[in-house]
Order: sequence, then C-alpha cells, then structure tokens
Amino acid sequence: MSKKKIIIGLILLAYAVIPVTSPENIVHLMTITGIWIIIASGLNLLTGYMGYVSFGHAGFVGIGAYASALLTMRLGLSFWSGALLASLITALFGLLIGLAILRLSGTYFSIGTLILGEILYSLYYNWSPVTGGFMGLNVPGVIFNIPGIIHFEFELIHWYYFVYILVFLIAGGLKLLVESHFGKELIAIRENESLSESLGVNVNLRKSQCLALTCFLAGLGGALLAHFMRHVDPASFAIAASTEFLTIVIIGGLASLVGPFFGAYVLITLSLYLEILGKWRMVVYGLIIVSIMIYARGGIAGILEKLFKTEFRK
Amino acid sequence: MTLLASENLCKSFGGLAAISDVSFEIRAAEILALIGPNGAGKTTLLNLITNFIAPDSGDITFRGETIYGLPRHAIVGIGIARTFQALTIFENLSVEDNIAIGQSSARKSGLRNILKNISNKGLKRQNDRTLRQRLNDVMDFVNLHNRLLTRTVSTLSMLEKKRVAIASALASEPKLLLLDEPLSGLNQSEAWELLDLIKTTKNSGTSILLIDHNLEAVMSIAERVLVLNFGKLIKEGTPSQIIKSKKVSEVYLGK
Amino acid sequence: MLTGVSYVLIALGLTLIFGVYRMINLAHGAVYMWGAYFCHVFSDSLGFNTYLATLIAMILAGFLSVGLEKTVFRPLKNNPDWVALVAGLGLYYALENFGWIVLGPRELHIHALATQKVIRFWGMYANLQKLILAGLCVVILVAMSIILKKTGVGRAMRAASSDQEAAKLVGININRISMLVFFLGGAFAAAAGSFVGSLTSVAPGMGFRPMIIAFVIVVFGGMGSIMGTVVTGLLVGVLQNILAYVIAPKFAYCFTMLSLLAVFVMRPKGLFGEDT
Repeated sequence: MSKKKIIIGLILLAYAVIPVTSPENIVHLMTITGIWIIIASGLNLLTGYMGYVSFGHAGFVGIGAYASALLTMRLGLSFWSGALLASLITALFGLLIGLAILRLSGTYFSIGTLILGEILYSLYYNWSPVTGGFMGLNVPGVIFNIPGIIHFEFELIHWYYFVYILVFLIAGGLKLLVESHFGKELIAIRENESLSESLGVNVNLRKSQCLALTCFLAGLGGALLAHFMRHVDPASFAIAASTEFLTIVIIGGLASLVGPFFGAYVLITLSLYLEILGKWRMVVYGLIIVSIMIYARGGIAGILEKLFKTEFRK
Repeated sequence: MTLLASENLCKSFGGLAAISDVSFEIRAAEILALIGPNGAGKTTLLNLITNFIAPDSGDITFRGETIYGLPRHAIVGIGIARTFQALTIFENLSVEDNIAIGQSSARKSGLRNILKNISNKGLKRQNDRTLRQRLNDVMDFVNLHNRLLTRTVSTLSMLEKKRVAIASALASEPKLLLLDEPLSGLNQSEAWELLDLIKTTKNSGTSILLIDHNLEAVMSIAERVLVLNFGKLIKEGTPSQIIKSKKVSEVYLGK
Repeated sequence: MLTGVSYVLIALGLTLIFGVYRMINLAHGAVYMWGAYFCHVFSDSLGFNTYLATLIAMILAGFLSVGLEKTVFRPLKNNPDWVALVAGLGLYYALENFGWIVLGPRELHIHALATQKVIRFWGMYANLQKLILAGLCVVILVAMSIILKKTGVGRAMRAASSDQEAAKLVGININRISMLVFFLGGAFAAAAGSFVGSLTSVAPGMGFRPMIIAFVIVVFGGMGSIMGTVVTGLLVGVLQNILAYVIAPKFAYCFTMLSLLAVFVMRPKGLFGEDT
C-alpha cells in the first residue's frame, strides 16, 4: 500500500471518529466547515484553476439556499430532491449569467461578479414576499425515509457524516477532473486564454462548463447550509460572505485540491479564537488577506510545497 | 493539390487597407514563403486564415470548404495550426502540458464522450495511450529530449522554447502549419537547425506557410514565394524568380 | 444630482490612480469613509469650521491613501491583476471594520450650516451645500485639466499614464508620481465623503456601494479618461435618481447595478475607453 493511500486512510478514519469523541459544538462547527469546503472547492475551480477571480460567490450560494428552502417549503419537495434541484438551478443560473459575464476578462470579470453579488444580495433583502426580506425564512429539517425500512429526522451526527461523505466524494471527483485534460485546459485558459484558443481549446465552452460546475457546488453548499442551519437570511450572502469564501480559497492556496480544506479550517479557527475580539476579527481577516498577497501568494499549500518539495498545487 | 485557397480577400482597419484583393493558394506538402516589408500585411493574412479576424470581403477555403465563421478553436480541428511572431507559449507550465494542450482538438469532449469513457475503460486507456504516444513522437520529431518533458518552459533556452511552440502546434497533426517569424532571436546555427525541422515537417506531409525577415534562410527552403506590399500581392513565383524580379527589389530597396 | 457629483469625485480619484498605476484600488471606498470621519472629528468634535475640516480631512485622507500605496500596492506592482485586486479588497475589509470599531453603532453627522440653506436661482431651489459640492467638483476638474495639460507635473502624470517604461527612461520618477496620484485620489474621495456626510450621515459601510459604482464609472468612462469619467458619473447619478423615483427607492440601487452590469457586459471597453 502506498504511503499516500495510508495517509488518506488515516485521515478518513480520523474524520469518522470525530463525532464519537468530540463535544457537540465541535461536531457542529466541523459540519459547517465541511459545507464551506464544498463551496470553496467550487470557487477554487473557477478562481484557482481557471483564473477568474470571483468576488460575488455568496450570491450563488444564496440561490441554492433560497431555492432549496422554497422548494421544500412551498412545493413540498423532500430535502433530497429539493437540494439537488436547487443545485441544478444554481448551475443553470451560472450558465445563463456566464453568457454575459464570461466575456469580461480578468479585472472586469471580478468587478462584474462583485456587482452580481450585490444585485443578488439586494434581491434577497428586498424581495420580501418570496425571500422573507431581512428576516429570512425558517427551513424545515431533513427526513431520511426509506419506506418500510427506516424513517428518522436528521440530527447533528447524521448531518456530519452526510456532509463529509459529500466532501470526500466531491474532492475525489474534482481530483479526477483536475488531473484530466479538462483540468489542463482550465489551467491553460488561466495562463493564456488567447493561446489556448489558438491551440484548439474550446475556450468558451470550457468557461461555461467550469462556471456551471462551480455554481452547482455553490448551490449545493447553499442548500446544505439552509437545511442544516434551519434558516436562511440575506446577511449570510452579503459581501462579507463572498470575501470569506475567497479568503478560504486564497489562504488554502489557489489551484490546490487540499487548499479549501486548509483554508476552511483556518478560517473557522480564526472565527472562534477571534470571537472575543469581535469586530477586530474582520480587521484581522482583511489584514491576513493583504499579508498573504504580499508574502505568501500560494497560500498554505504553497508554503507546504516549499517545505515538502512535493506538488500540492498547479 | 490545393490545400488552402483565398479569393479576393480584403480587410481594412479604420480606413487603412491591410489586405487588398489577395488571391493565392497553398498546395499540399509544400513550403510557401510569405515575404514583404514591415507592415505589408503578412501577419494580418495569417490572422485571417486562422479566423482571428474576419475578412471584409472575399473568401478562404480549406480543402474545398470555406472557413468563414468557424470559431478559432475549430480552425485547429480542421487542420490548421500556427505559431506567433512573439514567442507565445505557456511559460509557467511544463513542456508536456504545453504539447498536451495542442492535442485538445484531438480529444473529443462533451457529455457523451465522458460517459463513453466511464463505461468503456479499455477504450479510454487506449485513446490515452495513443495520444501519449503521439506526444512522445512529436517530442522526438522536434528534437526535444524526453527528459525535458517535465521541465518548466521558462527554464529552457530560446531555441528549445521555439521547438516547444512548434511541437504544440504539430500536436494537433495539422495539414497546414503557419509559422510567423520563427527564426527571430536565433543565431545563425540555431536558425539552420530550426530550418531543418521545418524541412522535415514538410517532408512528413504538412504544408508550411512561412513568414520571416531572414530572406536568405527563407529562400533556401521555400518552394514558392508570395510577395506582399501594402496589402497587395505583387509577385508570386519560385525563389529564383523572386530574386531576379525588379518589382520585388524595388519594394525592398525603395525606388 | 448629489449622487452623481459625489460619484464623479470618487471616480476621478480612481481614474487617476488607474491611469498611472494600471491597478484597481479596491481600498478607495474605505478612504472615502475615513475622509468623512476625519471631517466629522474636526468639524463636530473639535469645532473647526466645516470647510476647514473638510480640507484637513482631504489632506489626511491623502496621506492615508499614500500610506496604502507604499505599504501594499507598490510591493505588489508586477503581479497578475488579481493580486492587487484581492489585496485591495482585504484592505477595504480591514479598514471598514476598523471603522465599525471606532465609530461603533452611532450614526455620525457632519454639521454644516449650508445644508440648511436653500438658494433660489433661475427659478429653481437648490440646497446650498449641494451647490457648493458641485462647485467644488467643477473647480477640481478644471484645476486637474489645467494641471494635466499645462504643468510639468501634469505632463509627467500623463506620460506615466500612457507608458510607464518610457516615462522612466526620460527620468520621470514613477514612485513620486504614484504617490501624488494616490494622494489626490484620497483627497478627492475625502471631499466627496465629507459632503455626503454632511447631507446624509457618516457610517462605516458608506464607502462600499459608491466605490463599486465608481469602479463601473471608471471602466465605462474609459479607464484613464477624465472626460469619460465625468460624463458617465453624472449619467449614473441621474440614472439612480430616476430609478428611485420610478421604481421603489429600495430597489433603485439594485436596478442601477443591474443596468450597469448589462451595459458593462455589452461594452466591456466602456463608452469612451481606449483598447486595454
């Protein structure tokens, strides 16, 4: 058995054991972090691998959250179909909006996503009849039901395992994707879009596909958040949230599969320890972002790369 | 046999005619040189052939079919590849990745194919192996040693980088290769090495359209020459005909 | 109208910065907010004359802006665009939240007598303070035009704007020009903030939305083109006011952004822009 497989096995084991050995609040935090990892992994694809920096990611997450909440509350769908449908809706939205914003390059795209995030936030805040305005919506819990065999409502521990199964499935899937030719094309687009096209890469298609996938994962994360927290409100999808997702990806290391993991755990730890600092926490975030840009652009993955001389990121 | 033909091609930029009524053809497996003073429209012509820009009027056909309206990446798919005047490659990526990107058009993407790949692992493995083999073949062809595969391009020498650029273009197995000033920045012996590569490429069946200012080098390998001046095709012929032509020498030496 | 003019001032600073620096400064909105706060401190807490306070605020904000340039933006100069963009966002975030700490939940206001006065001319009524702001804006624009066209410094700025390498070769000190440009940008933003603060209020988050809009204006008006920035800024101000009138005010911002996004997408180079 290769060293790598043993390490991964141990890690998976550790994750499996955590809920049994840790206090409830830790498990709760870990679950939220897991959802963040899913969202950040999607953002990493767009921003890290493809090189299109998005400042409005929380907007997409919100679409998934509200869509799932509304589908289950107003249309009576189960969480399972609701969440899946919500993710698809978000992906579809990504495809459509991509037709417009993907023509923008670099900085312009980033500003465009900033605006988009603002528009969506404004929508969530102001469209009260549908979104519940600034109060938001209270979302029902999740029922796991196989008729005749099993029926129970999701509790914290079920959420934990469910989220992390998704996290690792998605991580595995992304690994395959990134290491395939598709991944190479994304990186080529990041390095030099025009050259990629001249070499035969169907740039427009790839960009749309990437954005759609990124949005799917964002929507999925949003749906998970909505049903886990039993609540959606606009504040969770404002610029602060977009900045946090971007911070996670950057701290962890852009274009690195493990980056979102590092980034998410660092951020949640910071949130905890800096809770006492209150508003100072946000100031520190901002300064961290700036410092990383100046001193360690590759994030944690980049630092690890230098330490262990193995490739963690592309 | 005509590979590429242009008919009455015209392109203006803001009132300035970059290409005026240009009609020519490129035949299979030949080296055609495109020469002319700076600003004559040579690169513009390449841009028109690769659909970087669209002509104002006139048409370009490749193997009998018009290329009008074909998206840029599809041009590679039908068999036309190019390099650029300023050496353009992925500096931060490995040699292998650079060439692999050149194979993008050979890989069929799309949902149907992904599903096909997942369901038929054997077929996928075979396809990958074929592409892998082709990549290695291209490396050999351009005289790049295998150990350079994982090297980052930015660490290579100028000549090696140029080989990578050509390799990326050749990776799509084009019928027509457009080279824009491939010899610039190379010293005498390096230039001759690259010329050798160009000759070998033509001998393997690929047509070459070559632009370069090094007239001695160009004339030594070209089979036919087109001379462009102020966007107009002023002379067409074999190298010796061009050298002897008064019209051409006037263009280069001034009246 | 107020909105349009304040946007113009903010955008003007950004355009100048982008022209020379070729970098988008996302921290600018924070400088705007802090400028307003400085003004408040001097005018309300320390009792200075409001306009003197504004001037002081402009100078302080200018220094703040330069400080940011020297510590953050300059080291990041030769990197891909997104690096400065993200750093700017981080700075904005840190500065705005620092504002929350300092200002707290109170809503501050800058008192200026002129906000109460209404002047009548040509049959219209206009708020004096707004008129002063508009006047100040005009003065600044005219001054900038003259400086850019007629003075040595202005020429240096234009040279640095069109070709940094060439400018360096002819002996122009890019670092000094950069500092100057950041200083001016910060000062203009502070002016806008002070006036807005006197007509509405000073709050830590006040800089975010105007900043985004200012960016779109800068891009639209053509990065680096002052004329374009002015025209676009005024247009956007008008647009927002119209939308607030026609649709419910709370949706005005949303729809303004939507229209801007739409036009942005259709003409990524802006209305007056040059090819970037």
